[in-house]
Amino acid sequence: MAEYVPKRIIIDNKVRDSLLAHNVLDSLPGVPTEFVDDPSAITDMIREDDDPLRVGKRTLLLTENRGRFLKPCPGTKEYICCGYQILNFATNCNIECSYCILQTYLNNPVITVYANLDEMFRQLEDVLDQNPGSFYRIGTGEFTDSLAFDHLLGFTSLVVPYFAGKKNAVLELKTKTDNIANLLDLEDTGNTVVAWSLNAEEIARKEELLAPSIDDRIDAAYKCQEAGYMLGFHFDPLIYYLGWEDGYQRILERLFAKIDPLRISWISMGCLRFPPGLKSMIQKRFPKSKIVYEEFVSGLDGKQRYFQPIRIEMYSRMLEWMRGYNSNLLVYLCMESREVWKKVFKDDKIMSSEDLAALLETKNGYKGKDHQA
Amino acid sequence: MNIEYKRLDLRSIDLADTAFVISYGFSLSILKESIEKMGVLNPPLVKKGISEQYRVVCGYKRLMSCKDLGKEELTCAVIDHNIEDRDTFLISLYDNLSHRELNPIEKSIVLGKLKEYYPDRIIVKDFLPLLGLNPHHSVLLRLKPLSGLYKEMRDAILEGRLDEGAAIKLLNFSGKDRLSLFRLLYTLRFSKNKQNEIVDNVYDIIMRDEYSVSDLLESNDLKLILEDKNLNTPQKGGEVRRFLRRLRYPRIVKAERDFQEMIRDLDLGDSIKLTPPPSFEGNRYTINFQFGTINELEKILKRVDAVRYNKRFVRAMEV
Repeated sequence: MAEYVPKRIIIDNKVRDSLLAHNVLDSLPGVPTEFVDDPSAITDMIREDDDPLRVGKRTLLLTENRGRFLKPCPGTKEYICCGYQILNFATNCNIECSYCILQTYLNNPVITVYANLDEMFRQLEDVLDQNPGSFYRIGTGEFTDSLAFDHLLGFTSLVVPYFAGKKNAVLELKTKTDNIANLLDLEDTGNTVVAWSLNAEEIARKEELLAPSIDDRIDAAYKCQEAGYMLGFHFDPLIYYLGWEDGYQRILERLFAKIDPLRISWISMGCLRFPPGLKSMIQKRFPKSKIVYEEFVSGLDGKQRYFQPIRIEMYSRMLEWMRGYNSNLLVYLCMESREVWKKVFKDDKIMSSEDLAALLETKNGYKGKDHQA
Repeated sequence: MNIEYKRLDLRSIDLADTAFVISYGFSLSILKESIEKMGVLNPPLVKKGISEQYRVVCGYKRLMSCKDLGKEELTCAVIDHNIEDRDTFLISLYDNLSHRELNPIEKSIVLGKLKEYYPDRIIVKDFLPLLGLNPHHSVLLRLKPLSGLYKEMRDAILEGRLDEGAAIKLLNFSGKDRLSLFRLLYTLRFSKNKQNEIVDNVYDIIMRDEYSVSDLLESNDLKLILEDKNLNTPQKGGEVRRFLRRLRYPRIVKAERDFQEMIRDLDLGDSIKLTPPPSFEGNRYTINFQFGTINELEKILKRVDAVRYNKRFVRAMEV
């Protein structure tokens, strides 16, 4: 995958002396750069463009996060949620995935990195040190791809060592990229799970337009495994299409040919779901995509979801295939109902968000490589 | 702005030049009657063009009426030919807005013409509110194409027979398909929501199954419905909707049908209604019943109690 290079850099004067600003400027000496007092004037103008997302993806904005860096994942009470915390260091992503919820979720179309990291670490300290009895699963890959800009930012070189020293937290870096050079240079990899979003090859090719191939992602995961990281995988969104069984089985075959199941902290599954407004966005921006034409119903959270029997069928088959490689894999469902959990796992061990959070905390997640060794 | 009043030969005004005209969907009958009885009270505004002909700025309907009435000349207000086209168009726009509300097609015409002179950003910020619309880019994108629809579709919008939203969705179809689908909506007199449902379902089906619209609209199943002499228009509309929904959501429709069959087996009678969760999502089933006497209540409760022993219902709850 070609590494991301913006066509324009905007740096908020409030963070012009930050480490991330220096890293970006050192990495991209030839890219037109503007220093501004008020980036909102620029983002407002981009928002008014005919295709704000296209322009936004070519623009890299460094600014400060004036709010909270750490926030609970915006799950809904109607479905079982894993209790994840999002470390919001950046928003938006350059990878063009047709199904990406950020296309309608975020108000600002520009790739935005929050460079006031001193404040981020201060807030993390506040939460982690003041609540030593609580365990936190923290991820950076909800509102952006965790690694897509790491060659410019060097962000992981700061957060991975930080989390290695924490006893009550695990950091998940969730990505579709193979941008792992910085990660491979780090020595202490404890408490960091590097996770890949995977899909059937046909879906990756047609719907994840600028993402590396699935083989490249698995190769990158293998390198991280060899470097001592624990791994995660997310089959999310699982997409129903003619031949999905073969497509997903082939990916699992390729995944487990390279990856040691004992190095996998967790695997999640989530069938395609989207807010109603995303359908027209996908039709407009990805007219060749057919993913919105399957049988969807309005979920309890108002999102469009596959009709329940389709979801149950997909999860059940995937689980069966994965357990065929290793019966102890920790597999969970992202934002699913109790009924679906019960029918897929054929038990009622996970009947609430608390049950799932507890499972992820205690099984093998936060104990990292030392636990597995 | 200098205005000169001149008696002009009607033939010297180019009525085919509608660059500054925004009127659509009007009738001239009352205006013609007024001109016949009272004359032209407000002179139309024209501008000298590059050729010898005058261009219409304001008063297109008055000029058309005079032409229909066979008048040969009339007094016009003539503005300086050096006024830029953009400013001339603004004169026309503000003149219209000062005394009437524009219909959706006229708003679309205005947006299309403004696009020749202004970037979208300015149109959204300055002109959408002027037209009584929300200043959002999506509104511009939605409304602008309406004026490009076929005339019968534009007229149907003004008659209230075609929903603007459905019309915009019809633009996703090729010309012939668009017209066929529009005629189906028009003939069966669907409500606005149902028009949107039909267009959405047809679009989704042809995209998913790589059908053509004509394959779908000329299919035997649909023909049988449309030609059924025993059905009135609303009944045909209902059947068409059900037919398209079966194609669009085969599994969901089958589940609904299976559930209805099961309800029939349960023999709950007319006073008990068992409802599954919406779209079978979640696990909240509802039973409603009505009773007038204790005796009736006892009978109903017995029937309701029997539901939990019905194997088919228990299985349905598990799916």
